[in-house]
Amino acid sequence: MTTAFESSLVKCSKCQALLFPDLYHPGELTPCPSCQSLLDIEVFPAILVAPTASLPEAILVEGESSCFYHPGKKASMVCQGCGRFLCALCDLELNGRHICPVCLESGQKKAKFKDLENTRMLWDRLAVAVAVLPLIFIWTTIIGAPVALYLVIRYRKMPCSITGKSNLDFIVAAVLAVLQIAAWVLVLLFFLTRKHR
Amino acid sequence: MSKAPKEYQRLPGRGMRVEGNRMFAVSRSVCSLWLGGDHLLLVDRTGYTETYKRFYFRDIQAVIVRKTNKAAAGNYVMGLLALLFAAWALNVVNLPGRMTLWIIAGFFGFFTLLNLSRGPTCVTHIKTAVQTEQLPPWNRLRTARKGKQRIRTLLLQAQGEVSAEELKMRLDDLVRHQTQGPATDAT
Repeated sequence: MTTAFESSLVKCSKCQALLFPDLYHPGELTPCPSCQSLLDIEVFPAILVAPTASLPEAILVEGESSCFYHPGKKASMVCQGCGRFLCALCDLELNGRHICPVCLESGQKKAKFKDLENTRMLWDRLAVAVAVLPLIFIWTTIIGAPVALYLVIRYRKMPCSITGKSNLDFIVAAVLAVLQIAAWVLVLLFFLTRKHR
Repeated sequence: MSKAPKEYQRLPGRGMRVEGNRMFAVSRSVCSLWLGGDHLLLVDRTGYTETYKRFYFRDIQAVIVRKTNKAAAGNYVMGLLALLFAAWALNVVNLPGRMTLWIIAGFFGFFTLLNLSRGPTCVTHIKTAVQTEQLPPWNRLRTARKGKQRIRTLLLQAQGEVSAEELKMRLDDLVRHQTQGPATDAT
């Protein structure tokens, strides 16, 4: 377990030795006293702040509003998601909003809170791959093109990368898929008409 | 109509995170680092999914850069191969063979020069109160320094301006207090 003493010090990223403040020279490479690795350590004021945890207060006066999840604890906040009373332990702050753990969990599942999103499927890139890769064998496009078109139609409104990529990949995938389908239709028509002649 | 400003700005560098052995990796992901309004965003892209890690400016305690010898080792190996193929090409009379060997030597020479131009390699870690996470995009000393320069002001704005000397002094005091505190109490 990390002690408060360890948390206010930096460790060497190679040998995990604790490094004392006299080795913190931002912009300069200083050897680690233990493994001699050259380190450039820059610390920021947050290192001085000891981690704190807020504990809920017990109800002292009868009739005082209590936490919905901990009836014996005094309510200190109202959940901005469901309106339930919360104690200091259940109060979670997210972007200035105070919510309860249940609202947080349901919001995370429904992707309501962008700041809690930690994974995203890149449907646009997948659609492009499904439209392009089958071109290697040509005949595989008969399956690839409709699948790519389906992905474009089904997921075109889904958010792409969180870093703000445009929808260009979807457009490219759609164009490629339509062209491939059109080519297959033309080939099919060509063979059908030749058979009838 | 003017375009809305982008939520994230790309920070310099791009790296790869390899899980497991480098030769037989369990997973490889391409990493990039982005600057948000109040946090750094580390994006790991594996195939068609992206995984995000956020480091809020107020929580970042330290940035640790460790110089590695990867670039130097790569330069030695590739430079040696370039020299070997060049020497071999000089001793071959057959024109197509000589051309092929020169192309191979040129290939290794090009990558040696490219590696040299990118500068020494490093491993960068970011420390918060609860975790120390590697930042694969900052894998060159020059890139790490450039990146640090861009985030330094934002971190100090979020955490409060404290000069480097003052911070060091307060940290020294804190460490001294924590190491000597219990001993003096006991006596």
